[in-house]
Amino acid sequence: MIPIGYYLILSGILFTLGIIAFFIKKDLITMFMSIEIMLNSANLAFIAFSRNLLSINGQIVVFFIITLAAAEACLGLAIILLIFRQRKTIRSEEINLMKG
Amino acid sequence: MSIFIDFVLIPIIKILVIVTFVFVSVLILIWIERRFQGFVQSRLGPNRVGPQGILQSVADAIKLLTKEDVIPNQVDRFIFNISPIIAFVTALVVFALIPFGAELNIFGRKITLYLADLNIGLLFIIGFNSIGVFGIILGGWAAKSKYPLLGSLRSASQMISYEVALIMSLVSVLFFSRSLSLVEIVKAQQEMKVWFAFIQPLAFFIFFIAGVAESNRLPFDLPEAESELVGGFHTEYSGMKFAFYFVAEFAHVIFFSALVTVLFFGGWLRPFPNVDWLNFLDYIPPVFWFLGKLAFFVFIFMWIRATWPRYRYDQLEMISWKWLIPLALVNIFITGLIVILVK
Amino acid sequence: MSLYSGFIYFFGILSIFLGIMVITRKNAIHSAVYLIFCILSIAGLFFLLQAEFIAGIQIIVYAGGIMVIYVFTILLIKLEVVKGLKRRWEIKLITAIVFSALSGEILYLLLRKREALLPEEYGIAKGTVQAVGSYLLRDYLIPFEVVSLLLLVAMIGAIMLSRKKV
Repeated sequence: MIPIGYYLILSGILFTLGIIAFFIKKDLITMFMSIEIMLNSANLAFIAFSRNLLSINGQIVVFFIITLAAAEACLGLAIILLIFRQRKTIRSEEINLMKG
Repeated sequence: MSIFIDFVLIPIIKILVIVTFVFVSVLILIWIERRFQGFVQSRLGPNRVGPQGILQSVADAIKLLTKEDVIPNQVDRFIFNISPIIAFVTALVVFALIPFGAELNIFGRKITLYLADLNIGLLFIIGFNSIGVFGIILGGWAAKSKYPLLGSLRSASQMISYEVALIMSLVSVLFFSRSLSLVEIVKAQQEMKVWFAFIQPLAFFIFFIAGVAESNRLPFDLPEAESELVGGFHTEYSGMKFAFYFVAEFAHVIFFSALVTVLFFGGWLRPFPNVDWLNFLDYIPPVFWFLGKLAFFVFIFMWIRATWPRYRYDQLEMISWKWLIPLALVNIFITGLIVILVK
Repeated sequence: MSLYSGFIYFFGILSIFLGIMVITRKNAIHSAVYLIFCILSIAGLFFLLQAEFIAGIQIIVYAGGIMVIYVFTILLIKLEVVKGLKRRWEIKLITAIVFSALSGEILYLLLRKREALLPEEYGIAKGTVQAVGSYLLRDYLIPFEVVSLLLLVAMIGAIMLSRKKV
């Protein structure tokens, strides 16, 4: 049997990858994808805990997270498409109209 | 030793049998389809290689496998190489869950005639089916040329809209089977002594239409409409990669026929499980019934292809969103109401 | 090492490798393809942890639904390979701090606090469709309905956003 800490470490590594990519990437779509990686790592931790504590509740939370991710992707990508249509770019640094 | 046989040897043999079954039946199907379409349209069809041209598809396969693998200059290599593999693998993986029969006794060992019986069988199958879409979308995009891109955009929206109808039509079946496992669904039909097609005809109808659309067959083959888009998403592919796409398409046909058989026509059960004086039919092995029904639905797929003209693109989207999905929703509502009232 | 743990290590290392591939690709569509495989390998981990229903949902919603939207958006946007654009030094500093903090924590756990990663006794909490479904419709009925409302709102929002005139 593999101790739960190993799953948490795996989840931590994935989360680190996601957050690093969120900081260093320059186009909005890849930044969104790194959010998906972070959400997945959280899901993994929830499932590992659910297995460890013999409870289904963790899996229910993951179910809700996945639904949330679907809503987030659908709205976020619609917004990205809108930004692209109006400004012809998806580079995060060139979208600075609110900067004043 | 017994563990080795049960968990390593038998699964490997089953995998080999299933893969061989798919490949051989795809080869036979290609020949039958061309020959049958020839007869329907009063042409000859392939008749030179072997008796009645039966070796034609073997010759074609050898030709495709030994051809030079042409990669055009402008393509995105990584995506171009990986997308036929995605389409091919996802088309094969789903066969792991199809139950070809109940159980066999060989040398005193019970052998199930399916590779796996998952608790989430239907979800798994539909999930992998929707991953197969990536093979088509990415393949068309990677070619970086006009017609494949149009084909892949069309196929993406077609797949998404018909997947909704496909899943919705399944929900009303699950009211009766009370399980997502394919084996349990067949067993539920055995217990109720009726095929689900007779109590859910509308669901069967929707599922079948959506299945034809999902496997990109005529009347819904807009992604590869020859007269408009040259070859559709696989215009730039040749040789072995084209063969992958081709095998994946026919494997989809076989897969959807198998799924219709399992979900609506009692899988390996004999016809009329509720009529007692037909009991002598039980002596025929169940695998025979399964393969017979499978062959029947594959034939219907070909029949439709040979006789129906292609839909226009707006008509295709309208059929799904304005007819199939509302009908499926109404069907779910009425079935749920009846199930509650009968209780 | 049993076959079971072997598979878990395999999927774990595979998902780390694929995650690294996702964040190092220059082209967004390559990242998307690697992300699909990464999600699938995490679904494999869910299977092994006996959360079968969640694994199925992961395959059908994440890999088959959300990623299709991503790929579709990338197809509609003319992709320029983004390069040469220099990040400001504050962002570099924040990245370095976050990276060193998170990886330092993981390394500390692995090297110094191995006994904290207790080998716990696992029982059986099989996340079958029946188990998850009965929880979802009994104990979590109101959150379930709220989430369905959220999906409806997201759908209406996406339709509103993608109209020609806003």
